[in-house]
Amino acid sequence: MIEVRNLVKKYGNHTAVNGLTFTVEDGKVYGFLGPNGAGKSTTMNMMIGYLSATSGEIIINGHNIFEEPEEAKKCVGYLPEIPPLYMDMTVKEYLTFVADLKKVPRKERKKAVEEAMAMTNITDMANRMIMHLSKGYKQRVGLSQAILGYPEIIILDEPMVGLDPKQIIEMREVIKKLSEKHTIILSSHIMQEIKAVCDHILIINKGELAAQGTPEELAGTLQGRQEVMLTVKGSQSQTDEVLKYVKNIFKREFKPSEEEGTTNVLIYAEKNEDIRESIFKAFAKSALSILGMSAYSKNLEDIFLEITSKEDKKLLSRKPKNDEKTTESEEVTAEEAAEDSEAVEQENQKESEE
Amino acid sequence: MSAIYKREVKAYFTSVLGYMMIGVFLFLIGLFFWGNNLKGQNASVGATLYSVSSLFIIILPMLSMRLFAEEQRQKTDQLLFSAPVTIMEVILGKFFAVVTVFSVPFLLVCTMPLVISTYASGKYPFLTNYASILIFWLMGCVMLSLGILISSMTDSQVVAGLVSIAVNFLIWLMSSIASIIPATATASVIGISILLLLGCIFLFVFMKNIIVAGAAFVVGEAILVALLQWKSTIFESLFGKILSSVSFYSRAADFVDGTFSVGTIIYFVSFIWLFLYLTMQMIQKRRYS
Repeated sequence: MIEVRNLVKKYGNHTAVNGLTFTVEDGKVYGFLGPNGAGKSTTMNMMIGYLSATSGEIIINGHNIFEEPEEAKKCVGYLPEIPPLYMDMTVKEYLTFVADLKKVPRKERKKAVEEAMAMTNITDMANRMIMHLSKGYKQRVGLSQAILGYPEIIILDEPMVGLDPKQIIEMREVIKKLSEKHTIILSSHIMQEIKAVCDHILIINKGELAAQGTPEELAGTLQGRQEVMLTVKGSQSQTDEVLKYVKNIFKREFKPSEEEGTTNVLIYAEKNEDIRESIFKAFAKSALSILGMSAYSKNLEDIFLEITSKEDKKLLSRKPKNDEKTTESEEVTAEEAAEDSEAVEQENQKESEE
Repeated sequence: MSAIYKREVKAYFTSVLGYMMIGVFLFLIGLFFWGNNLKGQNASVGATLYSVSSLFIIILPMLSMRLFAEEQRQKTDQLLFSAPVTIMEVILGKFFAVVTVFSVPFLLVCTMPLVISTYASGKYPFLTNYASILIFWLMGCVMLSLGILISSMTDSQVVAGLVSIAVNFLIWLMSSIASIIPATATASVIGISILLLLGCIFLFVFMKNIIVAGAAFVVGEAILVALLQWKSTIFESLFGKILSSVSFYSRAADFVDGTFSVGTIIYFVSFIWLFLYLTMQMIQKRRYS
């Protein structure tokens, strides 16, 4: 178990990590997600004791990394962004060195090295010089170094970077296999990777914890609005007239309709209560028929973008807590609306593909 | 520590570096041994080493320059410092490894007094000769520890090598510089001021804080001026003395002349400790900034 409390790291005037607090529980796969330069690597480097913190504390299995570094480091295996490999050694020599460095008892060293190589499928490369290996193999040697001696916690910084699709799938499998016995923390700036392997996601932006939770929780709690696609038998003006009086709707977007005499509209509403019911009742009263209605839930990618792109006030402002910004969003321009609809279409495509 | 020691020693001998340095060393020592001791019929191995020791300036940085600079460039230091070992263990592992490589030619040098003694008429001064070998070996260790310190300051081994050579060269020239400096109080104050300035620049590089470094310089200068006003006689030839106190070569030369001094051994060991300690501080500083 790792506890991180009020972690701050400053480089001169620049604050790389600003008051991070979170807990990592045993046996789960954690994902650090954030754009480049969000402070993911810095946080990880502090967690394994490579960097010191300006303030705050990190406690690994009861050992404070800054006070009892040796004890704390014993519990952790680490794969940095650039695998720390000595090019002038063979894979086996290197891993034997790491086992020695990690104080794996002499008798168990050979077995530990062989197991680590088997786990990452590099046994065939055991006697090759590391400098002659491809990027994918180097990454795997780095991973086998991290899992060597079976530390309880394995920290992987951008483990998939530079791998080809096949290798990424293999890496995911290795991580899944490891997660049966170990706590894993990995970082990435790519959503799909995190989604594919993690139980718990920590979204970091500008050195701060922007959000955390399971992928489902994130999709639920952070979705500050609901979106409903509606097809109505009737003209655009008639539909608009009915929708005007439904509470909580803050935006209506009309879409081109394929069927004659029908209107498609995408409705954005506050998340207070299910808007579909009010819509249904309103249309029932007005005697216009609803031909179709479907709720659209955002995926993690949208949430990630929403949280990490602060400039994009349009999206952020839909959070219901902030009343000021909600009014702002009513003046969404047609252009922005078009962009939005595009995103939705892409999303629908993605879902249908899946 | 043993893991790092073993890896480093092995690294010297998987690349050509270890063999080359040992080869060059042995060739030069052999050359001087032949010229000075065998052909020149000089009984003192110390004198031979004294001649060869000027080559420490270039050879030793070649051995020490990559030790930390290369780790920092390849980012392999992340492995070392995320492993359950202390920083000092890493430093000592590397230091003992480079000392081991450096000691290989010295083991051969140890046979030289035996060779000469077979030609000697009368009692051969073994003690003086072995004491000389010891002191030159220790001096080499000091220069290697200095090289490690410089290597920890940069991530380019070329820069580390060149700076080490420059610093070693300065140390080599130290007693000559000391002898040409005028003994007047003013010259000493100027000299000490320059040292103070260099010290404050180092402080600034180390702490990245211009206020502290500037304040240290101003306070230091004020004390100097105050002392000069109060009693200028203490400054007479002081700078020369300071410079010659860091002259490793003149101290080693005393051993060649047969003056064995425990003080000198302590002096060299203290320098080794100081440089390795500063290396640790340097690495700690990297963690904090």
